[in-house]
Formats: sequence, structure tokens, C-alpha cells
Amino acid sequence: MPVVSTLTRSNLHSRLVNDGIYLQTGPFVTHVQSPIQSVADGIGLLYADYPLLGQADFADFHVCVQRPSTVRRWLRPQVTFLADGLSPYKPLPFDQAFPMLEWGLNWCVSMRAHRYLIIHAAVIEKGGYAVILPAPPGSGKSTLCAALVSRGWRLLSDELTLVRVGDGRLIPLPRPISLKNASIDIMQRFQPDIVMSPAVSDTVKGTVAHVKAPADSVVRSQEAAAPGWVIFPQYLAGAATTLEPMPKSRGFMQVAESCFNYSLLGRNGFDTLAQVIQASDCYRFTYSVLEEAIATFDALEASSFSL
Amino acid sequence: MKRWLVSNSALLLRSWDDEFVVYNESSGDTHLLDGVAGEILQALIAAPAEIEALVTSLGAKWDTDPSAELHRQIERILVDLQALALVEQR
Repeated sequence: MPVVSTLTRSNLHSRLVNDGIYLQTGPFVTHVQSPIQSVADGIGLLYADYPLLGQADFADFHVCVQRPSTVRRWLRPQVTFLADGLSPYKPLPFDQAFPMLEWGLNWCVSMRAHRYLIIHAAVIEKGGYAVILPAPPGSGKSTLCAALVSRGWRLLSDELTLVRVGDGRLIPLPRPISLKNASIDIMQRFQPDIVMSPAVSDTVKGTVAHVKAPADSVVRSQEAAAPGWVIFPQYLAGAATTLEPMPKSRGFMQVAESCFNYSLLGRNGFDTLAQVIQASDCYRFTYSVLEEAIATFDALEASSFSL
Repeated sequence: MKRWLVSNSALLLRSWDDEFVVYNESSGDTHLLDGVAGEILQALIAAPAEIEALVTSLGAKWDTDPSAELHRQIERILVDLQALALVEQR
């Protein structure tokens, strides 16, 4: 199947301007259209390894990032995100076009993909078992996730953990990892060859940049994983690395609060989350040094083989 | 004497690490219960009971004398569970 990198820069831009592309990300097909060059460049850079489907194929989401047709078009250029022709967000400054596509794609999944229990959490895998990392903004979740996937962990998702209703398996949705503010420099120092989109400042989240998902994670995006651990990370400057077991029942309640559609799914939400918690050891994790954090996760994964 | 019973049949219960998580399908609420409250609820899901019967059966299960103090503790927890709309008295 062709991938995005088979298109030249001008071909990709031309396709996005006209009929759009049908992009496969995990279980979803998204029809993307945009006349904006920075959107084409962001897709070309960060989605290079993703399959492109034929123009006539089914799409779960039809999205467009474009300039709104208002007078502000000429005064202070803006950009708007459309999903199936409707805009869930107010327009943003024009230079936020690519981040807006990423946020919009997250919105599409979190609002509509209810065949999954959707947890606001990163999820990574090694040796067949996954670590779910639920955490509020500022906890260092994405930085930790980016560091771990740069050292051999498979990225299932940086933002949206999809748990299949019925069997509790974790369905990969590997997409670019969103970094904010100080995390951008930290990851550039940590992994000098990291592939990252240009930083965009003054967004609602501060300065943001997106990291390319590892090609291997994209290739394996149809390969579900079993839950193994639920770890609540917290970055704390200067803190020692600590991994503290927590009761599963507490883990259940905290994860339920991090779900987008736990209530909506009713009994299915409860049963699905119970499957995840039953299969997982739960921990609180505090860290300040990425290398130590990675060593901790690797030791945890290695210990699962000695049980 | 009135019996205690679960408020509806749509309660789902899971237990880990001596704690319970209960989902009330009617309200959509999820509650975290400690082991004692969870076992009282578990007993009432199995069958409605008067408080004296609960004191006797749970006292035996917990290897505790069915004392007035145990009676007070169970009654207090039943009132708490009632406030959560998980049990009622009829």
C-alpha cells in the first residue's frame, strides 16, 4: 500500500488542495483536505510512513483545515478546522494550522469512536504488554512517552488510549506526540536526531511541537496489545525516581475520571475498564530524570518475564 | 423489623485489594467502597436481610462477636450506602 512519503511535496499539497488524501491512522481512515502549505508540510514530515488509501474508500472522518471566509482573512489571517463540514472550534491564528489539525483529529476520535473506551492517556508497549499512562496536563506524560518510544518502546498513542469494548485489548492509534514548552528543548537534547515539526508559539497550550511516531510503531498499528500496567506519572523537578504501588480500586477510579466516554458507555464502560484494571498492576510514578525513568520502565517490563 | 435490600438490581461490583468499586447502572454513578461496606453490599446483592441477620452473618465471616458495637458500625454503613442510593430499607 502506498504511504505518504511516496508523494512529492508539491504532489501532496496538490492532493490536499483538491480531492484530499485518505489517511490510515490505527483503526481510522481520515479524509483530509487543506489548501494550507504548513498543513501539507506537517503531514509530509510527520505522517510520511502512514498508508494512503484510494480516493473512493470509506472514511471515518472528513476533515478540512482552511482559512475562514471572513474579513479577518485579510486583516489577521486565521485558520479553522472542519469535521464533516462543521467547526467544533473557534478559528485560531494562521500559524497554528498544523497543531489545529492534530487537535481536531483528537476531537474526532474522542467524540465519535464509541466502540472503544477512550482514556486520556498515553499508551506504550514492550514484550506484548502495554503501559497506560493517564495524567493531566503538566504531569510530563508526553515527554516521558516520547523518551520511552525513542528507546524501544512501541507507541500505541500519546493522547488517546483506545480500549476495545468486549475484550479489553488496547488498539494502537500511533500519531505524532504533542510536546509543550520546556519539553520541546528537553526532547531535542535527549534525542538529537528527533524528527519534530516547527514549534508554534502562543497557542492555548503555550508553545507546541509534534514529534514523529517511530516508523515501526506505525507499521505495527494493526497489532493490538494486552494491558499490563497502569502508571500515573508525575514530573517533579529534582525529585527522586519513585514507583509506588497503588490499589487497583484507586487506579480504577482515577482512570474512570480520565475517560472521555466512560459514562456514555454505561455498563460497557465499567466492564471494559474493569478488564483493564484486572489485567494491570497500578503504580504512581514520580520522576525528574528521563534516563532513570526509562531504566525503571525497562526493569518493570523485564520483571514481567520472571513472574 | 424492616429489611435492607439493594435499591435496584443493576449494581455491578468488582473487588481488588480489599476495596470495592460499584457501578450503579440506573444512575451511572461509580463509587469506591472500603472492604467492610463492599461486603455488606455484596451480602445484600445476594439476598435482602434484616440488620440482625447481617450482624450475625458478617460477624461470623469477619470472626467478630455480633456485639452492639458491630451492630452500630453496620447500621452506620447501611445509612451511608442508603445516602449513595445503593440500598434502601423496606
